Amino acid sequence: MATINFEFADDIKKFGANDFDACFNCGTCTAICDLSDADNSFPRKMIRYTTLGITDEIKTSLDPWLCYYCGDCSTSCPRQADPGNLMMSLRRWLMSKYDWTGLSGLLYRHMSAYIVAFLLIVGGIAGAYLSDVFTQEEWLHYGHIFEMIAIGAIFAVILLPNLVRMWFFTVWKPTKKFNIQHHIKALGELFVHMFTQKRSLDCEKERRDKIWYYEHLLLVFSYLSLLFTTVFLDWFSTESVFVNVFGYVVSGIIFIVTTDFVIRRIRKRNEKSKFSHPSDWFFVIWLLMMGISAFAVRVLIDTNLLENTFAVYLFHLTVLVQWALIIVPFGKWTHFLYRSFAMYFEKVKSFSRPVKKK
Amino acid sequence: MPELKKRMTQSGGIITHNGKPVRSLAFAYCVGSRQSKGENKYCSRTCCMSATHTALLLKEKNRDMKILHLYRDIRTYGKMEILYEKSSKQGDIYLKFEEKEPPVVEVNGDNVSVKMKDYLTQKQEIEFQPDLLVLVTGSVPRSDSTDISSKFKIPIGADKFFNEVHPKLKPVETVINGVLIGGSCQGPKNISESVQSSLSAVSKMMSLIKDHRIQLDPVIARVNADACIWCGKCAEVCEFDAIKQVEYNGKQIAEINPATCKGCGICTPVCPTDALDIKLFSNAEIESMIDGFMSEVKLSDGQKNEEEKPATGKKPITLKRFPEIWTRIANTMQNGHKTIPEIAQELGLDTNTVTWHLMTMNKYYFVESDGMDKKDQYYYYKLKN
Repeated sequence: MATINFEFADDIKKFGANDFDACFNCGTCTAICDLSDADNSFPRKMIRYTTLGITDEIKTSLDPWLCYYCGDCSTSCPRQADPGNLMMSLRRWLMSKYDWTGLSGLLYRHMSAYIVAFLLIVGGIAGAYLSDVFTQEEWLHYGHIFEMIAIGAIFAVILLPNLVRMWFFTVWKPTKKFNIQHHIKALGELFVHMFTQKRSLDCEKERRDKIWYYEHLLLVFSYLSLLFTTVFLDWFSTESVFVNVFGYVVSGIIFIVTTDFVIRRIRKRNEKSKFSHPSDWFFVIWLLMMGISAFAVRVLIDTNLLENTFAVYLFHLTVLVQWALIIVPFGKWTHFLYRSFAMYFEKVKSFSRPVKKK
Repeated sequence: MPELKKRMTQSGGIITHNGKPVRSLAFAYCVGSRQSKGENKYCSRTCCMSATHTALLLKEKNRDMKILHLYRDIRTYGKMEILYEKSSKQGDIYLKFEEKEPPVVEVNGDNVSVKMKDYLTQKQEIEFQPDLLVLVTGSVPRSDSTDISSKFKIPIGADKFFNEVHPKLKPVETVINGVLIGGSCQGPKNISESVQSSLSAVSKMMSLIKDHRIQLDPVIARVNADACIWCGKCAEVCEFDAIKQVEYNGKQIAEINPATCKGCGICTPVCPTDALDIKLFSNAEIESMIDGFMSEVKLSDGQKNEEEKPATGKKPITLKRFPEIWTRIANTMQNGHKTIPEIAQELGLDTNTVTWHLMTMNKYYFVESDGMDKKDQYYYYKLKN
């Protein structure tokens, strides 16, 4: 017995959903979807649950994560109800549900919250600089230390509990089973999907836009490499030529690819980049700024100009802190984590499903 | 539904119930309509449009109101589809049920609780408490329609609506000349359809009046005055009161009113003396036709020669008997093909007669054409094997 939650339809609109009200349940979206199958039939089911506000069903479902937003459903919808965008919004909503702090929900619902958070960090860094707490040397040193601590802390305090919550909602609640063997057996799935988004190829295969996939793949690896070089190889104070050049290359790639993504979002040519929630904009723009500022800082270090243009480093640090404290734990970055874990959980669930004979 | 509309007009659109503004309102469609086992089997066609339209009006004045539609099928045809789309886009929730599992309504004092299986959500059972539940009922014919029907002799359907002669070809005419029907007496119609059919009826009416005379149907009953003994049985059975008793040559006989008789023929079988007939379909005519069908078909007694053998593919039609001249024509072609003038000359007949018969033989696969003559003027014909 489910009850209708009238408020949910309005709430999900704050997460970016727009025209799903128009849906008249023809099911064309599900029929056309390359990824939808008998076990995980979407997006019609999710639209229906959204319309009726049966949030329990959505919360325990992994379906939104199985969608890569190729946009076939939205282009073929006879009512222009935009199911693809709804799935995207549901992912944002799910992230806010997994998040135990509740900050994700606040940030997603109100763009102003985002801006306030960004400004707080800008203010903090500017304040610290103006009050001359650290020397330039110390800034570089503590900046680096901060990164390490932030990554560890965010992961341990926010992301890990959130993943456990996600597991609880999507695996434990519907199945009430815990099979350690299944969890280990499916582990391979997790890593493949975390780094490659392999599944998205199933849905992109029909279309010519494979460039997006490779761009995205490149971006993921570059981002992880940059993270690795700056945090663990200490790019900004290393003497190693290899690390130095590698850092240049990956930050350059990040800059180029994100520029293309920003252009895509401005042009709105394909479904994927037609509707941009503020969080999408923040994600690509901050990534772009991070790439470009990291590049610039290293150039200035190599040319020994950093002392006189220290603002560039501060800018980089601000972007980095905002990225690490806002976008990574509460913003779009978590997609990366939840989606790959969704694949993993889906695989785990599939083991306990009765085998269907073909 | 009419009650809700009344309340809306009285309050300027804002709906309250027991002094409180209505936060959620549910329309239950097809109430008392489309019952496969009940009395009311038809779809009223207009209620969906009326309900979706009302939902739009409600939302205009009551922005926060949540509107639910419990429907079986939505029938907002034509331009009215826009109403359905608009209502859906304004956030109305549509829940589909089937006849066998209708929503269950529980009333506890002022609280209404609805439980239903939503067919669009995998038949999931859904419960909700609307502040107001509006029953969308279908239209039914007026209660005195049977009475009117018997007075005007208008045929009436099982649904108690009046029947036109033909829904497409004669949509406003009844079987009675001069009695025209229009609007929702024929069946559920929306306003524009009612106006259209009424206008059509009026223009039909005008054409009758303008003409100053009525063309009568030729197929009506007629009385054989000699045979008629006036028993009155025909007048009894006549649906249209077209038979009256008259005096003729000193005896009482029946007379047909040509203006009211519809030629239905119900009077002919009841007549004990066979004095009544339908023009163009008299008893004698019908009986001889039946005799013709029933008489034994005699097989062909004409010459059974090679001409009659079936051709490849098509089966030749065997005639009971064929003219003697065919044999003569066939004989001229025994020694090879011939043109029509050649045959005519040989038999001493005129070419027209030969052409006539030869073409018939051709049609029934006795002969076939065999190229042109040297001057390209006539076809050769030869016997078909």
